[in-house]
Amino acid sequence: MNEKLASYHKELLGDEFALFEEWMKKPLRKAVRVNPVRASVEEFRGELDKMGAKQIPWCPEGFWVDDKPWGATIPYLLGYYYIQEAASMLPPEALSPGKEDNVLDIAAAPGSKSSQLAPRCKTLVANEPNPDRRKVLFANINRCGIMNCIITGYDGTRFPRAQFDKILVDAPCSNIGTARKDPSVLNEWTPRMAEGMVGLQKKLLRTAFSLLKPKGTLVYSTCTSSVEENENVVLDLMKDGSAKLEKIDLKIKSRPGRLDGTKNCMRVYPWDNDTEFFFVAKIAKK
Amino acid sequence: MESRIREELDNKWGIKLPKGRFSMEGKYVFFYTGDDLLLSGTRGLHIGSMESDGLRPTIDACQLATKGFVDVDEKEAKTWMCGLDLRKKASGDYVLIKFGPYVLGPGKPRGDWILNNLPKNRRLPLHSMG
Repeated sequence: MNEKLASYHKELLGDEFALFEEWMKKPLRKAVRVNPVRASVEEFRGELDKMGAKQIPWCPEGFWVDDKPWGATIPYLLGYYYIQEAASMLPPEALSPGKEDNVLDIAAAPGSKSSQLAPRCKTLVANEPNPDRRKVLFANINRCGIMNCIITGYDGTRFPRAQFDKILVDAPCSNIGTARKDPSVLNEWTPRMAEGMVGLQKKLLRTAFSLLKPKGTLVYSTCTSSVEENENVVLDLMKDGSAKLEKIDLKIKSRPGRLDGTKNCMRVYPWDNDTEFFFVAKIAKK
Repeated sequence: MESRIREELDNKWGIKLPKGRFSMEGKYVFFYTGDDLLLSGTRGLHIGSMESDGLRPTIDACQLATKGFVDVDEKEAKTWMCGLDLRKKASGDYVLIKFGPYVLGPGKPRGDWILNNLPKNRRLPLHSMG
């Protein structure tokens, strides 16, 4: 772990810094999400039992599974489940679209959250500007058998005029949360790297908010811990008074946002639920 | 075009699609059930391709099939999922390989063989054959 990362997190976490050091070394617990387009959880129960599945409390289709290569099985290749980190199931659960909602996932690749949202809504627009990442998104959406999705390739900060009931902004970030999967981030991360993401995150969130219908709901999420990329970005959007932070009611241990006015934000720490870091904010348009 | 594709999918493989719209990108056929929201973008599920010998359903369209199956055992299923042809007799333009509840995609009967065209990203690694 590099010195800049350590000193930033000592200040951020205080007494819990020792937990941070300990948990960043632990390998990530494997998790899958059953794809309801292919089979319900009950229909897939027999396979889940063979996988050693244990229910993830905040996602009805989410399960922790034994540490095995679950990407090389027939049910996986046919789209019966998606390999997805447990905390990354939170943003779609927080957004919770209904059957009549038109939904935008503005930074959609590789498609885990899109494939979680699509079976619950009327239409999903899954956007990814990078052509290579869009190919992966297309492959995953098809593997999951999703028919109600439009895949687009816009720069998310210049998305064309449209109106959505619900929007997910799972923003590109400095990825501290992924350290348990890819420890190299612990040596590469600097506060400047985090600050470098903020401009894009703010623009993406503002553009997405402009595409939201009145009374619509937006979820902003990242898999990183820094206040600059999380609470500060949300507060920037709230300056003009047209956005309101809503409480997120999910069965998970979490911490409130770190800054005044952000207590309804959700901070998820690895040692609380054996997950990655995650930040989730649910924002309503007045 | 729509009714012809619907009819072919249903008659040959019992694939009944819900209400929605078809579109073509070259020879590739897509099926979309959502609202018309934007002018551009790839809409819906890739369900097949128009080949010289008829419509070839994708592995994802095959998941909705109720007939046209050739049942295989576990060893044959693994061989198939590794992308290899199966030594097995069958007839028709395309048959659907099935192992237990799992439909493993379309195959083209030719002589004593069923030819495999499983996409690379949907294959098991070769060492899975054991």
